[in-house]
Amino acid sequence: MRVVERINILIWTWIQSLRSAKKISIFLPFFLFTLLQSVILTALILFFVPPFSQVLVPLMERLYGEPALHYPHNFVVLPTLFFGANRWLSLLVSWLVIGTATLMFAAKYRSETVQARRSFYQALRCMLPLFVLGAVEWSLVFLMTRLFRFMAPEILMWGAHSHRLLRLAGFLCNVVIMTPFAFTTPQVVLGKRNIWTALTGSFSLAKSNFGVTFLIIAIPAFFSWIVDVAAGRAPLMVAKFSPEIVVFLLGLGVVVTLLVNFVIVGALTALYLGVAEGTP
Amino acid sequence: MQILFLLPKYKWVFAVFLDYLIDKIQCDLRMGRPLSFVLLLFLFAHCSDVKGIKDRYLAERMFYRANKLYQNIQVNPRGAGPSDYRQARESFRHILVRYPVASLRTEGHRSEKLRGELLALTGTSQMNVADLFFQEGQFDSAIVEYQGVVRDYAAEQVLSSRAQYYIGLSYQKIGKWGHAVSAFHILLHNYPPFTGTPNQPDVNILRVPVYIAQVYREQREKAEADRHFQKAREYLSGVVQEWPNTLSAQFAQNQIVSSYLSQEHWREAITALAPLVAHGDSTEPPEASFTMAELYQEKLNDPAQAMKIYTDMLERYPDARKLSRVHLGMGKIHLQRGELAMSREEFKGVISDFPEQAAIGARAQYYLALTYEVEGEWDRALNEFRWIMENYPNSPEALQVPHHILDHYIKFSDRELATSAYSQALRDYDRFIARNPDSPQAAYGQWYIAQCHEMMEQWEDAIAALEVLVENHPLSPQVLFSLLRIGEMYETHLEYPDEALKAYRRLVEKSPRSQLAQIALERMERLRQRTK
Repeated sequence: MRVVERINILIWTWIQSLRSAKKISIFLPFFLFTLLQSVILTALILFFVPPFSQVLVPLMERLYGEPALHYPHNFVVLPTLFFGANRWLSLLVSWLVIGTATLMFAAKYRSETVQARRSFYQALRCMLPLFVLGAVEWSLVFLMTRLFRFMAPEILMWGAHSHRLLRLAGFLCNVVIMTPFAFTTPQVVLGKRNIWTALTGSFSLAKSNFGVTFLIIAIPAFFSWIVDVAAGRAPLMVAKFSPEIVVFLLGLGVVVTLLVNFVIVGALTALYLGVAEGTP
Repeated sequence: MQILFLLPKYKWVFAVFLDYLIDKIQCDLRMGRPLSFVLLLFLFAHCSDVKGIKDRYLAERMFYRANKLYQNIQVNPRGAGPSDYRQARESFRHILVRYPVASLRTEGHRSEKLRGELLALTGTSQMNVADLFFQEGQFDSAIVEYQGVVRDYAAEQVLSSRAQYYIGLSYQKIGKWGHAVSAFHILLHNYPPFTGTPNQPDVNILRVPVYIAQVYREQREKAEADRHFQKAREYLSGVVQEWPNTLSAQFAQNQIVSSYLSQEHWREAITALAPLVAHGDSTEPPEASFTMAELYQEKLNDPAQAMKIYTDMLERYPDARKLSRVHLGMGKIHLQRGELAMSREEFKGVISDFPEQAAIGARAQYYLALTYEVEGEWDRALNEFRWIMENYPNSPEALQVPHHILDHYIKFSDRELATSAYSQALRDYDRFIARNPDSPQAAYGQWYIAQCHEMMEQWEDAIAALEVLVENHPLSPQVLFSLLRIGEMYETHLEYPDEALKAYRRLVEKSPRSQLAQIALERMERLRQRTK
């Protein structure tokens, strides 16, 4: 396939995904994830208020020491806590969100009736393969993050901008890891494959469309990453502006994540249907 | 990314939203909605510190916001208006209303640590309210607030002793010196001269005894001043004896020296300096050694003894940073003795060997120029003086130079060069003030402008320059001198007694108990008798 054709496919998948936004019900699974993220964020902000304080006060004190319980120091550790909680949330819930959304997108692309509840139960029935494949991908991303953290002290010695390059490299590596797994969910919920065949099928699809798949994930995720990086600079934000600005950036990150996930899952489903099944 | 930088504009939206969330939860709890109540009872039956942590967090948040307003005023006090002071005070008062000190002390459901932290926050809040009144010049209100701190936070020694000190200062500011002295005596009797351990001296307390005596001296009440200097030394000697070899004892000994210096008892000051000379660390000579050498050189006219002290320091501390000051002192002694070549060697050594110490370098450069002037090599001296303005443009010596040059030409009656130096000096001072408009040095620049006008007998220009100083630098110590000088010029050179009276009256109103106010009062009386 020529480069122009690949770009055409890329744009076409995004258009398909964005067109689906008219069908508000497709947002439901993503709203579920956003709701959970918002609950976590609210709990972390109101860590000192019951019932959150029962769990969070000892936890925060253990993780970050006594200063984390004081205003405005709690806002300095807030992004780290939120990103950490978010990571575990995505392990536990994202397989269900992506599975349900993939089924709903597919119904929309096939001009069938989009039924949130039916898609949800259908995805729930594929719980085991979805969770296992999600956990494998999650573990690899987690290991990569750990590897970067391990290498960070040495890389930071390279120069003034090395920390920015390090973050960008970490982001790109994560996307590279996610690319071969991009079609595992459609393989399971739409192709009715088992764990192994879904994995090999996804790998082979991603291999033949690596550039397109990589960009489908990387370009929208980049926006989400920028907001997260900004929120991650909490000490600066707290010192220079107002501590509450950290909450705003994290909230913005939650909203951006919702939109980004919608676009990525919609585009990947469109690509899967187009390449594997020849529809729509 | 640009949009991120616009966010601070709208930060209040999130702060308000957070407030709403917190208040909503609290409101639900207060209203005792059955579900919340049962849930809470179930979950937190054994939770004793949760309320404490929440209270502390909310208090910290209120304090943080109030403190931001307070800090804004501290950063730019001249730009702060009455509404800024009021807003900051109200923010601190909200904390005091929400967490009354009486309930903090009696409520038993919080741990001792949390209660201590809340008391520290409320105590500092009340102190800041008082400080804001003090800074705004509302001394009566400040006294009431400080008294509140002393009453409610007697156990918090650092806070209450500072409040007691400021009660004294506030009384002094409103002219109730008797009340001020009583407040200072309470401070001395009720509080130890240190915070925590004797190695953490409370400098306010240790300064107070000599300060009282100095104020009496300024008020020209010599007998009372001498009595208080004696009392101060008794108190301070007690501190030295009770806590020997501590920083408090060292500070007290310094104050004993200070009392003798204020009374111009130079020999006694040197005797009192002796124990401090022994206190230097292994690398740097103690400050007391320099004071002692300067006293011998400048007050007792005993340069040999001063030189001995400097030589001793050179031997004992060969690698000290402060050696620059030693060489500067030795250079000054050589200059005093007329040993110009040797003094130049010392000053040049200071400039070349300690290039990082600009303040000392500027001083050395000034004395180097003086050596040439003393020798009669004015051109060389002029060159060296100009070099100060090139190399150390913001130093006090650079401020002296244009005035010094003008003074030289006037002394030698060179009218033409004096006129040229006068114009040049005015330009130099204007440039200096434009470069450092808010620095204390700017007031001195303005003072020198007036001096230059006076030297050229331009009395009206001199008065105008001093009025600018009074207007633009109201907190400068030069203001009182300016008002006195304005009065003098109106009285003696322009012969406008009414204007002179006005200037003296302004001085008395500004600082009624100062030494200069006493002089102004005497002159006002003299003027009134003359006009009768």
